[in-house]
Amino acid sequence: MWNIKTSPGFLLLAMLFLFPLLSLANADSLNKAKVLLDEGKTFAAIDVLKELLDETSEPKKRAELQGAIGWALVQAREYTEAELFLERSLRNATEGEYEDIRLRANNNLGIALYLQNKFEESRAYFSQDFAENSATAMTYLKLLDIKEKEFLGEEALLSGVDKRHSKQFEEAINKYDLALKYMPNNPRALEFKGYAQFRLGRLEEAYKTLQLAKNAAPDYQLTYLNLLKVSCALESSAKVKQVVADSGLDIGVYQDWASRDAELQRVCADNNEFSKIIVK
Amino acid sequence: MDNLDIVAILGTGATGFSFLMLFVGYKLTSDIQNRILDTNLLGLSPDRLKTWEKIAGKQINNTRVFLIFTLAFLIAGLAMLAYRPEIKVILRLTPMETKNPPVVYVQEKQVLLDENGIGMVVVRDEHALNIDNTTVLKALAKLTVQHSASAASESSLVQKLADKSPDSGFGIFFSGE
Repeated sequence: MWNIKTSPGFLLLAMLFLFPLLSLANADSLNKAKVLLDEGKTFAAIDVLKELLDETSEPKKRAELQGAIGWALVQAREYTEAELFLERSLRNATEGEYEDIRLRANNNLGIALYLQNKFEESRAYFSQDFAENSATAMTYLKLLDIKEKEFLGEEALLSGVDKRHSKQFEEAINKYDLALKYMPNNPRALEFKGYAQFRLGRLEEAYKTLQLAKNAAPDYQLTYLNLLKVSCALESSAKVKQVVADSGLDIGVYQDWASRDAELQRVCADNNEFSKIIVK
Repeated sequence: MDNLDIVAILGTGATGFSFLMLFVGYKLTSDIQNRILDTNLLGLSPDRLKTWEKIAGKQINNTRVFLIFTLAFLIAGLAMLAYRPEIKVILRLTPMETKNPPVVYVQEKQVLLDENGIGMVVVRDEHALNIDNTTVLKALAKLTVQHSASAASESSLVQKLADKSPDSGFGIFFSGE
């Protein structure tokens, strides 16, 4: 007897109808996810994409979905989970030799790490052979150089401040020099270095460094405070007068410093010019 | 005497000790006086009466001396309690940050700190020492806001860059190619 359920013809017919229906359902979910992303509802879009991933068994489609979920998570700044999805996408795309998906997952992983300031790991992704001709990879390799310099410079500067706090002024100067290597002419690094030289008694060097700091950022008040201390320590009333004139600061600022800064009080106690300014 | 918490009284120092001496002295002399006064004087011979008078007189003198001495001790103890000596304290705040220094007040009076964060304060009992870190906290809050804004801005720029690129972000995922 002819059995409708086991007939190959019936199965073929069912598949012919079912595939377009499934494709339509997938397209609908994708549209929904796109709309949600456009509306800024990233987490709702991620949920829709995750549901779609659960329903998908085709390896290429799964790799694509994992990559899209990963990027949506990067948008939501959920970097740990984003890395998991992007790594899965990269692995599956590599195994299936889906070149476009692989390059996209690789670049997105590099971007996620770039945003977390993980420079070495990020650079490793953008430097892959298959990313050699990627415009995105080239752009980010340049950006990494810029950002890393700034980051390492700030790190060296903070390390110098730490050394200064523990009164290791020589080591602090070394760190400030390193910071200046990454961030040439940085006014804070110059000001900190000038102060450390002052504490070591290298007054002429300190004066020169603080002059550089002043030129780099003429509006930064603390440079003038330190210049004032160095000028007093050099016993130069002319320099004290010059610092006050150059700063353009109100006399009240100097009076405030004089009332709060014991070091300034001590160093400038015998300086007539400074005394005159304070009395004003 | 049984109800007195001797340890707690001694814990108050010289005042407590003198109070206890006063109390013990009073009890002892009171006991002896009671015994002396309980004597039936009518049955005593003139010699023994004279002896009794001597003992009673000495006992009264001893009691007076003891009470005066202990009272002086008690007053001295109370005076010590009332007197609050000044204590000089060397205070060091680290790390000392010139740009955002902590401000220290003793009874509303600002303490001058040097470049190493060292200052000297003179305090008495129950004086309030106030260390104000407002400047550093304000600077920290400002930096947090700046960092948050920078991170959001960087993330937004990265998204914009990715939107225009086929090999990053969503690429052609939503275009259905």
